Amino acid sequence: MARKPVIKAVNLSKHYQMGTMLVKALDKVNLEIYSGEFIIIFGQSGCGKSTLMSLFAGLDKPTSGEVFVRGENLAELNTLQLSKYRRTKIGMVFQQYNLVPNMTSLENVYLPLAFEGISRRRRIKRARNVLELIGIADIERHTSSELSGGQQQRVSIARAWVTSPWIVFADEPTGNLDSKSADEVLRLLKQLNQKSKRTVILISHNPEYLPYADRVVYLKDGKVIRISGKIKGATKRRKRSELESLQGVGKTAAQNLQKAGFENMLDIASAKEEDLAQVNGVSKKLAKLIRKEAQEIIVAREGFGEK
Amino acid sequence: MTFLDLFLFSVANLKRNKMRTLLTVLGVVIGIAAIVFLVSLGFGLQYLVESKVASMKELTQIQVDPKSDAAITDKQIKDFKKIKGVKWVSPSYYLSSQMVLDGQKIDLTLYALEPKYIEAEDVKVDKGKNLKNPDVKEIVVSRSALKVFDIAEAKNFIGKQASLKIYLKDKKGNISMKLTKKDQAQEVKIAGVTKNVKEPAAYIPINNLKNLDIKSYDKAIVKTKDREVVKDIKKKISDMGYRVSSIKDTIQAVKSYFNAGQLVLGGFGMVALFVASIGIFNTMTISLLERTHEIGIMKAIGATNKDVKRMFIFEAAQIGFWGGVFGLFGGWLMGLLINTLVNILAKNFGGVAQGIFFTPMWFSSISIVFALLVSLTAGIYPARRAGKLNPLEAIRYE
Ligand SMILES: Nc1ncnc2c1ncn2[C@@H]1O[C@H](COP(=O)(O)OP(=O)(O)OP(=O)(O)O)[C@@H](O)[C@H]1O
Ligand SMILES: [Mg+2]
Repeated sequence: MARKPVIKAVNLSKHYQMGTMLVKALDKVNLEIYSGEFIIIFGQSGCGKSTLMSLFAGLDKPTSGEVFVRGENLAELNTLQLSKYRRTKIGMVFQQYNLVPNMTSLENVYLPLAFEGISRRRRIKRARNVLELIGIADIERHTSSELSGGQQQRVSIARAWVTSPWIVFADEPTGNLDSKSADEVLRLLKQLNQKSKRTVILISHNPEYLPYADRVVYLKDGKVIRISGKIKGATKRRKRSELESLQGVGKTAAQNLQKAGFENMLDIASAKEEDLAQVNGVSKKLAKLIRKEAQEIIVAREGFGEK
Repeated sequence: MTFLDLFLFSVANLKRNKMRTLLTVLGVVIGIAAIVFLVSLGFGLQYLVESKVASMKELTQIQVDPKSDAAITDKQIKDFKKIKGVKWVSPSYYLSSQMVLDGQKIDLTLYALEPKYIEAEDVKVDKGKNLKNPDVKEIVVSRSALKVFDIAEAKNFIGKQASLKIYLKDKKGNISMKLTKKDQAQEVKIAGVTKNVKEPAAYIPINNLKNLDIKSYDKAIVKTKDREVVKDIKKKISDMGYRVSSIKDTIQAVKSYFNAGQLVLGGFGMVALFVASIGIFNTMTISLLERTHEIGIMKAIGATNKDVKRMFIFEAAQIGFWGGVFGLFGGWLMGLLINTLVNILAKNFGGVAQGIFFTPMWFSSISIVFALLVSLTAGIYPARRAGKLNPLEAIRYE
């Protein structure tokens, strides 16, 4: 298959030694997740879902096996690069919201941009855009103690979204919410996924949510026992025409780009110039141009202001 | 993270527990204030003493003493006079002598010198007159030389005749017990009495002792035209083989005494500052524990170890900086208060107003820098610990 996964686990294992007992939190997990997918990782409590997310987020090191993000092995990144990876390539939503207390919603949302060193003016603008997009612009001055659980979780989703990451992880984001707020949060994640084509990996033990997913990964005792659903192929045609809308990209070039794993605008925008130039029919100059154009389109589409 | 953000974050964090921050800063304030107050007292006293020791006149004098291989003869005196910047040179010698007054024999040191330079020797006459005419047989006697007499009133001695005999020196230059013969005794009139010489001594115009045929002097005072040339002239004469000294050296000595005193005084303040640094360490450590969870969050969403460490360091630095600024102000203010009080008292009792506290500019800056350094040192360990926290464990910590 020519498509390149956005994140990939290869024989991923995580074992804990508890006294004399060896707990296999994850056991030789192999998984490929593609750009734009809405994935649910489903399983009972203690089956290793959170462990998988920690490994994907580079917060923990596997006992064996590897995680590749767009072809890059996380094991090869140093602490500083891992921070950068978490800051720019992924977003995280937790069950306990995990907002920084004493900070307003706006401050919480722009926090990752502050760590990135983006100026106050620009990051406030972007954070406001995302708050608006999510429909909670009215609570930007509230601190977490003044917010309901559902509101806090949306702020946390805004924080995950603000950096325009490749992948958003959500670990039981509805676990602490009543069913109404839970539905809203889930729908929000789904909407954002559809609108921006960002990959969402939702972790849940609630079977009610499964219909939201493009694919469901069933985990049991640290093992992937089943993957249901189909890798999104139906949208391929539409995506091709999307790429063809770029200046200087014809039908063949668009097909070649897709074969090389650059499926949509976001892929092009977030790809390295030299990787794009590797594709048949794409010159160095064209690579530079389409990357820039794709970035502009993404920005315009998401209303995130300048990046 | 930009420095502006680090600054803003640290301000926000310090504001979270205002009372604790305030108390921690107060610790530094007290430490720095104590140091500034005590060391300013040291500086104030030093300047007070220096201004008394060093009148303008004496700052331009160099004392030249002979060495075994460098005698001060008339020829050398002429050479000294020729040095550029020299105003005058006053040679003198000391003799052990015996004065007979009212039938009493008194051993004293006789200083032979040019009367016009007697002030250079710091001999101030409080009864009678000072030496004036180089060729008149007059002496000025120190009060302590007259102690043997019961008569306390110095006035009674003014105008009295005395006879002076000199103890001879042997060939090696050591003083022998032999006195000059009777016919060589000097018959002199007591012109004045001085109080500010503490030893039994008498001063006589040098011309009166010409008959003793003394070839070299014991000392010469070289007066310079201004202060700036003192160093150069000192070096020149020193290069000629003599031992030289000036009041500047004395000031230097005074300074080193005071520096030692300031170290001791500053040391007391340091104790207070040390206690304050423990306070900072404590505050930062508690803050670290309280914020472990949110540090975990920050790291999970992409803060680097360095970002977290710097956030803590900035907080410690702010505690130190503000502690330093207010401590400096407090210490300075206390000094000012006491100065004002002393001045009011001095004026009421007819004394001269003079400050006993003085805070030099450079010391002010140093005290703030010092406060900063102390708090950084105290904050570095908690900051490192914060930076190294494992995000997964930290995020689970409640
Ligand atoms: N730090 C750890 N030390 C020891 N064992 C651990 C550790 N973290 C997780 N485990 C074990 O690994 C297994 C998987 O844990 P994990 O948290 O990934 O489960 P989960 O699927 O997220 O469960 P839940 O739905 O309850 O959140 C569990 O058996 C757990 O006890
Ligand atoms: Mg879990």
